[in-house]
Amino acid sequence: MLGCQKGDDNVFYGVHICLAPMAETSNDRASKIRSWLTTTDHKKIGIMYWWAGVFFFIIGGISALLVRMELFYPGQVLISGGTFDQLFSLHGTVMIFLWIMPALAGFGNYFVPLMLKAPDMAFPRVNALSLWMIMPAGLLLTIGLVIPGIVTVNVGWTGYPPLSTLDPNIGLDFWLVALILLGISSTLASVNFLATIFTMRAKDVGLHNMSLFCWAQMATSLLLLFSLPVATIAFIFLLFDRNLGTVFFTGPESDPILYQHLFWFFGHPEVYVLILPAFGIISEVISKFSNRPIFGYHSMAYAILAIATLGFLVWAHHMFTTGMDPRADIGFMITSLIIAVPTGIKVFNWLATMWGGIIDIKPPMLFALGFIWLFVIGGITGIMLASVPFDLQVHDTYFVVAHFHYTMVGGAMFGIFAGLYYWWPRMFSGKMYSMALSKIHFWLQFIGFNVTFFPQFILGLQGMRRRISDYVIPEFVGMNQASTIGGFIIAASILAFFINCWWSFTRGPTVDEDPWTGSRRIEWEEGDWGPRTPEVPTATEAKPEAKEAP
Amino acid sequence: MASGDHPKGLEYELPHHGSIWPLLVALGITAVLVGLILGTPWVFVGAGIFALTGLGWLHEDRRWWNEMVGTGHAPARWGILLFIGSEIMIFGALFAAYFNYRAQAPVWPPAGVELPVVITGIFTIILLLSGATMHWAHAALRAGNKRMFKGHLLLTILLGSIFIGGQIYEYISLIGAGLTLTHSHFAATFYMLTGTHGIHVIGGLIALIVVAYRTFVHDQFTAHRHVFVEGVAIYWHFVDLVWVFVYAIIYLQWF
Repeated sequence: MLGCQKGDDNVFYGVHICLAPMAETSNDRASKIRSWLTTTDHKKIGIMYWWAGVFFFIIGGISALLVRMELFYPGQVLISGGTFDQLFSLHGTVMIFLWIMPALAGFGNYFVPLMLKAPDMAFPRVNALSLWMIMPAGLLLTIGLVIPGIVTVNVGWTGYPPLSTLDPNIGLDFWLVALILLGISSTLASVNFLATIFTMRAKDVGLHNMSLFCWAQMATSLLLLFSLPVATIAFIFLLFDRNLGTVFFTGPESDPILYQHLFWFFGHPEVYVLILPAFGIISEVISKFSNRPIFGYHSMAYAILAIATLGFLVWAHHMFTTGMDPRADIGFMITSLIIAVPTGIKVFNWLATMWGGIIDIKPPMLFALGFIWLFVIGGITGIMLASVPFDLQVHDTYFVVAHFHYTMVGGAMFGIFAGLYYWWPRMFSGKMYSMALSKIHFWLQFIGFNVTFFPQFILGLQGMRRRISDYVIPEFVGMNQASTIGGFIIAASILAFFINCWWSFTRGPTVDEDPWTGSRRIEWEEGDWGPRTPEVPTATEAKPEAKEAP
Repeated sequence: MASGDHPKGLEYELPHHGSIWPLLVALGITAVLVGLILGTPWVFVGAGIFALTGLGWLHEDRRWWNEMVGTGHAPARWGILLFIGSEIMIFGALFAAYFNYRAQAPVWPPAGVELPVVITGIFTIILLLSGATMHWAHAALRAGNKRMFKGHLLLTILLGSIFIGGQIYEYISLIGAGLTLTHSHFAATFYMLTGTHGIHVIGGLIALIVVAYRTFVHDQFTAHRHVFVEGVAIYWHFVDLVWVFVYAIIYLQWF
């Protein structure tokens, strides 16, 4: 077979497996595809993570637009209530697990080894395994969209029992299996990142001088490693309840609240999993485009760790209305409020980094500034929600929806685009994008985002419930229509982004070094530039001394 | 351990070799999970695909670790320790569920439920013995005594298999006595905890069999290069330790 060398010991069960990707000289299309399918290179894996994320982002985005269209007018207009349930549940699950997480994992895969000057991740094949589990999980989640008779998840991304145990549709089982798959994938990826960061740093890269993005990735991996197994157990209990007749969560002597505890023990660290890598990206971007080193490096690094640690102690602030012991309410309220301290340290350090710097308003910096603005709104409303008396009033209203979209979209997604526009030529094409289009993208997204989600704060305070497909109160109409229009402005901004991608790939000017001003950064200098560079051919023969297993 | 052989930094080479097995194993894991949902016969199809792909991975593993990659001892050791960290959370969550239901139950264990404390105690001792033989095997390998290493390795596999046999026997007799999964919260959490542990023991046994294969067929481990053996040993000790908690808490009701 092409590209395999004679004598390679790679015939297994009659399947001839080519272990080495082809040399670039063979322009055979099949071999190129094969080299992507068999790659263990952290750069290629990072790129595939990113584009897989974008693919699912489109699915999640379309379902959000359909939800907004249904809410434009009161009354059932466009879609049935059942479809509405599927769409918002799919939107939540897909955006969290298949857009933000893979996109950030893509940056992590690509840049953490470069920033550490490591040759690759610690376990390259396990890294590829983590990537490939994303795809079947995404398929299982969305299979109900194409196969009649199977619904996609329709119980919210939280899947609370008894609702999630009573619906017999097999689509919910597929959803649980997909989440378990994603859990295995993320656990393995976390082990990989941590082993890489702990042991694969070059001699001149210390824990206390590596990029803050690596610190963020480290904290993220710790969060996933210790929180995901708990949710996996909750999902397995749910599967047993649904299929094997156990009564963990549903039934006369069962305990549905236990599910909420197990779920949120994972679910709250999960939101920091989504935001911490974005913090890391923003730290890189702000320091680079302010032409100053980051202000308070150590406080930044340990603030990340503090957020991650406190993140394990706040889960029940999602459950103030479940009738917990009021003393527990107070405890979780206090720990939740304390998280504002390390987060505040980070925000003030970003501002202090810009103070006196020579600020270069390029697209990445625009997104970073937008991030700070929006994330602070999201964070402050988070403090409001953390206080028990306020939360009891607005629990499960659009106030909560607006809050977490300000952190997840205004925070994580703006962070992703800041990183994308910063690293684009290094990561994807070796080509620059259109500055004008990316600024159009930013302003459309920033305006559209606020038009979409600020009215939802007001709707929430007026008492509109989330996850309901219809409303009758006339006061809700105006704000809902503003929100829907804003949603389409965001969609237009994403369209500008895709046009920009196409422009960059087809006619963007070639870039082969750091295109930005400011101090030199390790990830721009280190290693080959992207997949354009031919791969190093096999070095098996070069290491004859390594005969024994390590 | 000669961890000094692989200092931090760029001394080791990591050529960009490819492998098809990550993709296939991912499909295998998916197949077995989907099979569990669809029920028989798909679960067997899924398990078969998973087993085939897993074997492919292990087959390549031998070459991979032998010739291609030399990331050294430290990543592998950290890898297994971190993985065990997440395993601790799995058992932690199961125990949390157990204590949660126990706190809500008027009588615990439910009236009429008798676990075979003595017989399982004997199997507990057998499992702990296997931990000792695993340690001796590892120590022998480090001292360069390959004969003793092989003997104790086989003994560990034997003792672990006896424990699993005991578990299966216990399950059959308990189910025969009416203590099924749906009998009560006690039964459900009992089967979840012991079952999860049993799956971990089986996983450990498979890893031990891989060690044995690579020892007896390929003679790959020496006093200085055996991080795979070390990882499996750490994992096996962890599985033993978990069982001590399971036995003390569920069988003896100490806590």
